[in-house]
Amino acid sequence: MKNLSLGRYIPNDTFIHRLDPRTKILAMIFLLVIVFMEIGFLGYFILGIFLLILLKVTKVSFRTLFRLIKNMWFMFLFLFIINILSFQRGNVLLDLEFFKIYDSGIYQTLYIIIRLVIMITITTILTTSTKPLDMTYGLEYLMTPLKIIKFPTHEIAMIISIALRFIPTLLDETERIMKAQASRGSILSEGKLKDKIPAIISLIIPLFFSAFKRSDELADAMEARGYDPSAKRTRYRVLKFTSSDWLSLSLIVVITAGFVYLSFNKEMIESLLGIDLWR
Amino acid sequence: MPIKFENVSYTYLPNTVFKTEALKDVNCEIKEGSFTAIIGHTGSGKSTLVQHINALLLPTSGTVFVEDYKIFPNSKLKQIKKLRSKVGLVFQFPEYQLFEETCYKDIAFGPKNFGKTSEEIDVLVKDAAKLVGIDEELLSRSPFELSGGQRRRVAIAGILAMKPSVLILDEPTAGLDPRGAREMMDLFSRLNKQGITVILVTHDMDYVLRYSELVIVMSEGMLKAYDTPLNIFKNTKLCKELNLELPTVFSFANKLIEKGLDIDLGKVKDVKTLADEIALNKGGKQS
Ligand SMILES: Nc1ncnc2c1ncn2[C@@H]1O[C@H](COP(=O)(O)OP(=O)(O)O)[C@@H](O)[C@H]1O
Ligand SMILES: [Mg+2]
Repeated sequence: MKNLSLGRYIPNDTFIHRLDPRTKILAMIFLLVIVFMEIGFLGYFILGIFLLILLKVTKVSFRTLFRLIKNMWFMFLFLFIINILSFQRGNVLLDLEFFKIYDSGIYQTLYIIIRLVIMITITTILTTSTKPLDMTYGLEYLMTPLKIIKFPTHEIAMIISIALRFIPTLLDETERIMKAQASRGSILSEGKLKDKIPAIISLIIPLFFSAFKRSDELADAMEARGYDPSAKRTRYRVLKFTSSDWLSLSLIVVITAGFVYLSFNKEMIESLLGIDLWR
Repeated sequence: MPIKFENVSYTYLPNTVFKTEALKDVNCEIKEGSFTAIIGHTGSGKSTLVQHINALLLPTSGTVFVEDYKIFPNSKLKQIKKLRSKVGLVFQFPEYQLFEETCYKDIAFGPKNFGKTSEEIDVLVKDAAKLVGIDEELLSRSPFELSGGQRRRVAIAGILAMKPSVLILDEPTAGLDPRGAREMMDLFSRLNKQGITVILVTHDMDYVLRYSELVIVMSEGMLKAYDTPLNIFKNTKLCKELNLELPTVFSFANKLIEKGLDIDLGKVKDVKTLADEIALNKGGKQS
């Protein structure tokens, strides 16, 4: 259960923590758009530095981030092998009689890995600095325009916030049931898959049972207090944009514009700097 | 099986901002065949402490000795798996761990995991069901059809079927009706008389006074006191400091002493023994 704390909200009082969740969600969307543009290694380098600064400001420990990324090494390896096998053009780097390794395969893999790492970093910054509940409020607000097409924004936000609320509860429950079954000699982390099946069943069934029971109880409790999803309601916590939100959003827009410019004028910048960006 | 904690500390989620030092340098020895109660506020480390005894948790530092088993920070699962059949741990609300189609199969889960043959299992399951007072015809029913109290009995039978020589109970009577709770406590007391070491985590001081020989008091991860119930409840300073509730008969006896009756607190365990003491004072008969 050690990994479960990774990427969770960490209470702190930093500039990023204090920003409005809507600002942070919008900024994340902008940054994710940048990640998927063709901005070359130079672009990723600049973006990387910007994110390092954000990490520093948010006080996310690099160790936490590193552990999150480390868990994905297998996927990276898999990508690497697939790319090496499938990219068969460009310059030959290594010629093994039966099979050639091309530089484009390597570059392609590097790009995907860089993109993944950057995406993880961005979402980690968002989730460690924003309370899950604030995040749903922000999302609900940003989804308001969808109401025109009868999209049930409030219901979706309620579903998300209940789900978020119960994730830690279910994780605790999982740990408790695992321990209880381990006390009866069932061990999940050992043996062949065939031997593991009873152990897995002994975990899943009680987990579902209690999850259903909990949702039943919650539904009753909500109904008892007259919950009506379509009712008009006011908020206890009102989201408020401050000058730092406007400032941050402007900064992100400027940065995004810069990257858009970079990606459309790659050749020009390349000749200006005298380096091959796409490499 | 004697149990010994030596400088045991445990930290949840070390090296993160969520880290909690749940145990701090705990030292104590629990004698074979004893009935020991563990009390303390919620979050004081009681559950963490008992989960070390069957190696569900390995100490962050220090060592736990259980018979010949040595549980230390780098213990390997292989070396300690057998230990789990000898130390039965009943979690809080154990009815949530039931999962088989029938109660029989659920009670058999533990013995099966420890490699018992089906003939052995049959005897173990029926014995355990009888101990907790579950009728044989209920054994073929699904545990999900039973009432809460019955489900708890089935879950406890699932632990007893492993024939543990140490039985750990983490708040076993929470949420039971008074009668069910008393029957449960009487069962544990009977098992203790048969030689099983019983360790009971509880908030109910009446049970502590009535059943336990020794009491471990936990506070903020530290072992605050380890003594007989009499000495613990007589220690006004400790009880004040930790906000411990006194057992009902004990405070009643205290009041009687204040009013001039001569009562031996050491003999007061429950209503009956208190009545005996009062009768002695008044020249009445002892039952
Ligand atoms: N699985 C866990 N992960 C993180 N912290 C925990 C976990 N279990 C317990 N704790 C923390 O350890 C401390 C001791 O808890 P616990 O042993 O359950 O106390 P008790 O049983 O006396 O109520 C508490 O502060 C609790 O929040
Ligand atoms: Mg507990």
